[in-house]
Amino acid sequence: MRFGKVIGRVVLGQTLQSLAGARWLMVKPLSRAQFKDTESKESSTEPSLVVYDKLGAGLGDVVGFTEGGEAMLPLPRGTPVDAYCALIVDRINFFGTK
Amino acid sequence: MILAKVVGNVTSAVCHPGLDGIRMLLCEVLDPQGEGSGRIIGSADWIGAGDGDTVLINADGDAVQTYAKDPQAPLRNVVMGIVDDLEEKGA
Repeated sequence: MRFGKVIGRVVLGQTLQSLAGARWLMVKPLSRAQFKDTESKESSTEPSLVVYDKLGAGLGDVVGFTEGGEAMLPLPRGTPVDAYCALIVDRINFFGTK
Repeated sequence: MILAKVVGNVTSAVCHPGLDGIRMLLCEVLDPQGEGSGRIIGSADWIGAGDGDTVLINADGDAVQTYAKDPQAPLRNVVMGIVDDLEEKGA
């Protein structure tokens, strides 16, 4: 699972039948500095990605998303999704030094 | 399987039901020198690893769903054990 901040939403016009009505989020992965302080301007170099969302995450929320095969476990078999918003973060307790 | 250092945890009220009650640790993946690489991932934990612990993480699903008792839980990483001693003899 990786963590990122919701920076936007994606709306699909035509979709596969199995994805009709799905919500999609644009998510920018957090940098190490942003784990300490989510308002930090020091953003990560990792590219942002689109994440399937069923929890109703909003703009600016920090979410945890699962990637790869496990992303489609909650969905009907054969649904093509490779990033799934699994949790909305309430609080990050970060103790890493450096 | 990867080695990582526990650097924190997250709490969440809104999550997939399969993740309910699961301890979610933030773990910084270690580079070959044993230093933090800056890449931080979330990992489910059932053994009680604490801050600063070096842990071994299984990064390929399947087993996690068994522990989470939910075949649909969208989880991939699970803490397998806490590293006591790491012996390295350069390659």
